[in-house]
Amino acid sequence: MRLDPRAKLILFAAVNIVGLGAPFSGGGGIVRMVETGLVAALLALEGSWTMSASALAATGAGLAAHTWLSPSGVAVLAAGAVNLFARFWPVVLLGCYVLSTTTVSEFLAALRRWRLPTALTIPFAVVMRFLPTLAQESRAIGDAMRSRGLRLGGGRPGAWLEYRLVPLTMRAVAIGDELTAAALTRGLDRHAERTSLARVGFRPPDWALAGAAAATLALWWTLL
Amino acid sequence: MITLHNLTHTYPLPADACGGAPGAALDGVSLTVAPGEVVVLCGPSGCGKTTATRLVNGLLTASGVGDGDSEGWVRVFGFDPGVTPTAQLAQRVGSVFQDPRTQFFTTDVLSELAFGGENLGWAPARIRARLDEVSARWGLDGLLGRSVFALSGGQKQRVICAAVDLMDPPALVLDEPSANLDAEASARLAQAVADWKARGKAVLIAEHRLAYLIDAADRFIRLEAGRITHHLTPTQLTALGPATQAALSLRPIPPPNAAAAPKTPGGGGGMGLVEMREVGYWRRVGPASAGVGRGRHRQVVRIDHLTVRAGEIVALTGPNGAGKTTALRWLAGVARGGRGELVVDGVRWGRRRRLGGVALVGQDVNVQLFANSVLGEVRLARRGLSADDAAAILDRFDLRHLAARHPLTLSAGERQRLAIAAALAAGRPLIALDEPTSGLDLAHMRQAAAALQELAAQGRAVLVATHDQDLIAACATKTHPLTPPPMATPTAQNASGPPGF
Repeated sequence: MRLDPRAKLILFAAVNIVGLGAPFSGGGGIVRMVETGLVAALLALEGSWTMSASALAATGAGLAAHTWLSPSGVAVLAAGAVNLFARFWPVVLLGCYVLSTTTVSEFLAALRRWRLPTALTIPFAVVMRFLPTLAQESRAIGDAMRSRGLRLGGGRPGAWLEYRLVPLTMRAVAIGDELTAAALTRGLDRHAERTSLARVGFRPPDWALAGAAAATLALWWTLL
Repeated sequence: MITLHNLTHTYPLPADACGGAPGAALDGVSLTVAPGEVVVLCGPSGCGKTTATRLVNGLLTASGVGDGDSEGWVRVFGFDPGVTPTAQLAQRVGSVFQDPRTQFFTTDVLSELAFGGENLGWAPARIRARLDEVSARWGLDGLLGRSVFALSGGQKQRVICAAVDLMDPPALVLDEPSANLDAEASARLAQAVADWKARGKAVLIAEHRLAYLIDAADRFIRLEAGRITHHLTPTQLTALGPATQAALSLRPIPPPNAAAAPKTPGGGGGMGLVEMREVGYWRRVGPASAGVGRGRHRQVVRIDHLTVRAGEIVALTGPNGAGKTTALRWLAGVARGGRGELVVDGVRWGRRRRLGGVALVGQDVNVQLFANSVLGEVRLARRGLSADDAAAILDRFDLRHLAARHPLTLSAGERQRLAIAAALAAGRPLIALDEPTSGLDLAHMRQAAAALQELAAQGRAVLVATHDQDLIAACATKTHPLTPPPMATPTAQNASGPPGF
């Protein structure tokens, strides 16, 4: 199902606020279940059943830890870890969903409908392109480190960070340069008015999604 | 018409920071490319050919802060690329670069094609009309809905050419466009260039690999240290013969027949026979980049039986998308899963054993050098390797004089040799290399070939995935062609409109 990028962004904002902010106790638990249910449903619609289940499982674990782990001793640490994971995981998954299901063109077109200036929207688009590319590079570095037996720093504790970050930084700079060159030579100019082939616009599912996001926030407001 | 008149360009920073040679990157260069003409700039790495292309497409400006000093002038159909606004320039000069991974600005083929038209503010109807035209001309109908992360290198380069064509610029500038392409994709790139030429475009190409362009090009211009040394027609270039071509550090034309030169394997010692049996690898091919969405599993590698002996250099060949890189990643234990087995001297090596027993030199050496000195890089390869032993290894690869330098300050050819030296230092019996010579000029390619022969002479079994016919001719003892598994290229057959890749 193709959704308007703006509806996804509204949901993303709501899930961030609820996911990171709401407590696990009382009404917060209910708000969380609604929020996670939305994320899981979107992932399931795309056929990503494992991710969908993991969102539900993370929130379930967070609620269970809150209910049953007594606040003493080692349990505090464990409960803290589970709590943190349960807060972040649905947000991360929704981020992946947004990146995976939105093309750069749709994104630019949608932000233009919000009348955001090009100087502001183009950096967004660059990040959408840059992050997956950098992730590929990061995997390549990880592969090389494993192959050379440097996964844990090769005997020098702490060195693995240096091994990972120095090449990654160099590649980040080079990728930035090359992407910029590709964009400039094809006329991307922040002073110019762009058009777009992407068809964006709110249809019933978009209203439903944005409504659900707003309802989640409203629910939080009334229950707390 | 592209005109360079008495052009001199000097970078303000040391050479390594800009990838050029020290001193003037261009020194009094004058040349013209008329409409309907194809001119190829060639010469050793750092000769100034990339600088020339970047002055034409406006990425470098002839004057301005931080871009060095420039004399003389450049004109592209009457416009000065240095001062023409981005959007106007994009309609006059189209650019294709070397690395297909970083040329895409969007994440799907359709958006990428439309991107240029959208930037110029064209009406959607006009963009759609152009889109239909170029996707038919470039045979992209089967690819339009695809994510760019699911395309092979050849397909990406074809999409970029089409995306540039959508804006219909009268001048085109290509900077080493074939560096990551196989022979077939290169041949189709040459067809595309010939098509541009037939449509009256002025085409300027900077290249190391010249053979594929011999029919499409009108003139070859050789640069060295920023100066023009030779103007050659294709006939004159071919007539030079391999010896003179080599003296001018040009790749041989016509290319050597890779199979024609059997070489005796190097010294034995260590381990004898490496066999890959019934190796298959499947990958989830999803529609999206961040992992959300329905994927399906598709076989990407199939090797029934492949043997490498100690002292042999076996070239793993095959078109883009045949699974060469994945096969090496499986072999080195970096890629998890897959089927089949690696048997070394009768002993089956599991994934952990492969991870510790196979040295992998990946495609991009920039992401596999970790130490802060050249000597340190070699010592990092094996714990307990003494500085003397490490220095002796550097000697074998002609790197000793660079021992104290930081690896990232080396030239591309030197970095490649350092990665190979580190692989030897690791003391592992089997060494796998992925495209070690893409983007290298003749001299660096020869040095890489010599480095591989050094590995073989040290009794290592060497498996090298490569498109480079010159490298194969220079050092391979055997080739093993890899064919894509039946389902691996469902769209390759759809892509047939002229000129396709």
